[in-house]
Formats: sequence, C-alpha cells, structure tokens
Amino acid sequence: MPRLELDYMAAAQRLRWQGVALLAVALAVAGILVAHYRAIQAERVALSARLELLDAGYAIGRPAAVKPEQEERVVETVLHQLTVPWPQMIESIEATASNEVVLLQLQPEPERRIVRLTAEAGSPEAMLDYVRRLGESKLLDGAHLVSHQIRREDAVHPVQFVAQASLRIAR
Amino acid sequence: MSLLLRERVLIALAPGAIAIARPGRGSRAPEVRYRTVHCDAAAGPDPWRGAVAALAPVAESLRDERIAVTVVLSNHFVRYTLVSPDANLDTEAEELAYARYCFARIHGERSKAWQVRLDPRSAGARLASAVDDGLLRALRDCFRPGGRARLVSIQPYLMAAYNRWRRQLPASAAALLLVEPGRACIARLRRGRWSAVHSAKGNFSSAPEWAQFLDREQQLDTGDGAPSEVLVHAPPPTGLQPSAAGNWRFKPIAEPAAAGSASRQDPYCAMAMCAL
Repeated sequence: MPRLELDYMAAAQRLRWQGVALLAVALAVAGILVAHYRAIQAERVALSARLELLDAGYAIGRPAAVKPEQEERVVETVLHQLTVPWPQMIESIEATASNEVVLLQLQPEPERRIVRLTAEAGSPEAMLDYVRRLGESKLLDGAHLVSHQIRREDAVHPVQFVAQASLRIAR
Repeated sequence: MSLLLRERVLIALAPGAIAIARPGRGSRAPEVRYRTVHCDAAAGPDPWRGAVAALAPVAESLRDERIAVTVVLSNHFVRYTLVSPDANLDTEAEELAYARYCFARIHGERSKAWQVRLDPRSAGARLASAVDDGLLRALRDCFRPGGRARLVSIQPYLMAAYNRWRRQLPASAAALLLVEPGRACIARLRRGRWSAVHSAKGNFSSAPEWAQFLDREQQLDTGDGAPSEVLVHAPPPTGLQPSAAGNWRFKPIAEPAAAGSASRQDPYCAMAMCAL
C-alpha cells in the first residue's frame, strides 16, 4: 500500500524519490566536473613548467643589450634583404654566362646594394665580353672589372676575374 | 545544511496539550526525550487557539536550534472525506477543486476557510483532508524564517499513523482506529483502497466504547462487511493490550522499544511519535 500524502508543507514526501534521483545525478555530474577540473589543473601545471623552461632558455640566448640605433640598422638590413629580388637577379647573371665563361662565386652585399662575382673565362676577350653583357642587364648597373689574373699554370691559360655591379632597384 | 542532517523534533498538537518528542539518532531504537505542555482547549473561538498559544513559547525556545520540526495535527483539527474518482477530471487542480466541493457539500460555507489536501496516490476513492487555514498560518508564524529551526511538515494524525503502520495492516481488508482524548477516527481499507473514514467526538476510553463507535460507523459504510480485527492506536492503558468487545477484536499497534516506552507514558507523545 502506498504512503498517504496529506502534508500541508511543501510536498516533500511526494518528491522524495525524485529528489534522491536528482541528488544522484547531481553527485555524478559533480564527480565528472571534479575529475575534469583535476585534469585541467594537471595540464595547467605542465604548461606552466614548460613555459618557465622556455623563458629560461630565451633569457640565456638573448643578447645582453641592444642599442636602439643598432637595432634599427639590423631591421633596415633585413628589410633590404627582403626587398632584393634575388631569384630574378641570379637568373639575370646566369643568362649572361657563355660557353667561354664559368661563374665561380656570387657575393651579394645588400647593405651596399652591390653584387660581386668571381668567374673564369677562356680568354681576355671572353672576359670583357661577359662584363659588357653584365652591364646590359636590366637589374644591374655600372658593371665593371675589379681584378683579373691569367692562370699560367693551366695549359689553356684561362683568366680568373672579379667583376662588380650595382643593383638597379628603387629604394 | 541538509534537512537530513538536522535533528528531528516531532510535535503533536491537540486541543488539550502539545507534546514535543526528540528521538535520538544513530540507532534503530533511539532514546526519546519528550515533554508535554497542557493548554486551554477553550482559549478562543477555534479549538486550536489554546494549542497554538502553548506552542508559541516552545517554538521560540527552539528557534536557535538546528532542527527539522514536524507537527502532527490531532484529528480534532482535521476533517476527512473520501473523494470518488471521476473520469471527467483531467488535472490535479480540477481534482482538488472537486475535493473542496465535497467538503463544502458536507460542511457548508465554513469549509471555504479550510485548506484541502488530496492524496495523489490512492487507487479508487481518494482520501482528502481539510485544515483551518488560520491554524496553518499560525503554525508557520511560530517557525518564521530567520530562525535555525525549520518547520518541514504539518501532517494529520491519520497520515502519520497510517504511514508508520501501514505494513502491519492486512492487505485484503484492514481497519485502523486512532483514539485520542475526546475523539476517535476509524479508517478502513479494502484490497488496498480506502473504503471509509469517519471521525467522531466523544469519550473513547475503553474497548466497549470503541465497539459502539465502530458499530455506529459501520451503519454508514455501504460497502461489504468490515474486518472484525481492528488495529488500534490508543492512549494507555487500554491501548496497550489486545481486547475484544461486541463483534470486534482490537489489536494494539506494535511500536519500537524506545518509542513504545515513551508512547506508553503519554498519549500525546504517542501521537507525535507516529511521524517518526
């Protein structure tokens, strides 16, 4: 026989089992939340530890102090390097090569906006012809011979030379 | 703090006295501390005025205690009726309105001042109770919010007694007789369904008087024959021993040892302990 429910306060008895069920669900949810909270806390501690290690490493590798003007120069250099169209320039220099001239070394100097190259030619005429063609490039200006040397020890007497040109780039 | 963790205080409220019982916790047969405060049944226009006047200082003394208070209302303060099931009533509100109508049909205009409760679980006819709204407000005022003592339940004596001893009632046909000073109430069930409930004023201090009451009330019950064995909750000493009168055999309710000890000494404490 079921209980008799004639209570004049809130119907607490009627809701007893609903209340117990609700309490059980609430406890289960609370348990899940506590477990989740603990997992998050553990992750947070691990991340904090990693962050501290990274901070420590950055502090060791960082320069002691950089003056503002030095920093400005570094930034400017980097910006210049970024603005130089290296692929097009190299392509242009390679296009001036011939069967008689071999490019040995290419030394760009972005801060001075010049490019210096070392090459070897089969004859002095080929060398001069190469420097002239270099001057006709759209990206280079003021191409000239800096030095040259005839390699007597080689049987065909090749000419090793250094040429230099300015970069034709608007600032 | 959860109400489950509070100490329980059970208060029986009757026209002649109030009983305050404090069952201990932590064992199946807790020790019960109790006291009874007698009151003036003719203190006001309503029979409950004297009891509430006696309760007020008791409630004030309990105000700062972390307790959950249950008040058991004497049948002097409660009217009962059975409400027949009606297929046309769809909602709880409609069923409650119908229960109010049933009380109005029996008691007239004065029932408008009563609060009605309808047992939601009864199969077949449903038991309904009505209590003076002024009494309920007065009880709530005694345990106003702000104190640590909480009034958690106000229940009729029949509800408390039935819920406490329903497992001792035979399933096929059962009768529960509640006897208190100046009143008796008989509730009958047949196959788990309420079949009759009657309450009457009078002197019911012995088994022959109970038998007369049952004979009289049986005439009003149009159903099949009532069971001859009646479970009785009655004040000492008559309520403690099996007895017989007329066609009736009266079987006292078996109470737990400690609760029984307290109840054996005071009928109002016995009433309060029903809500344990």
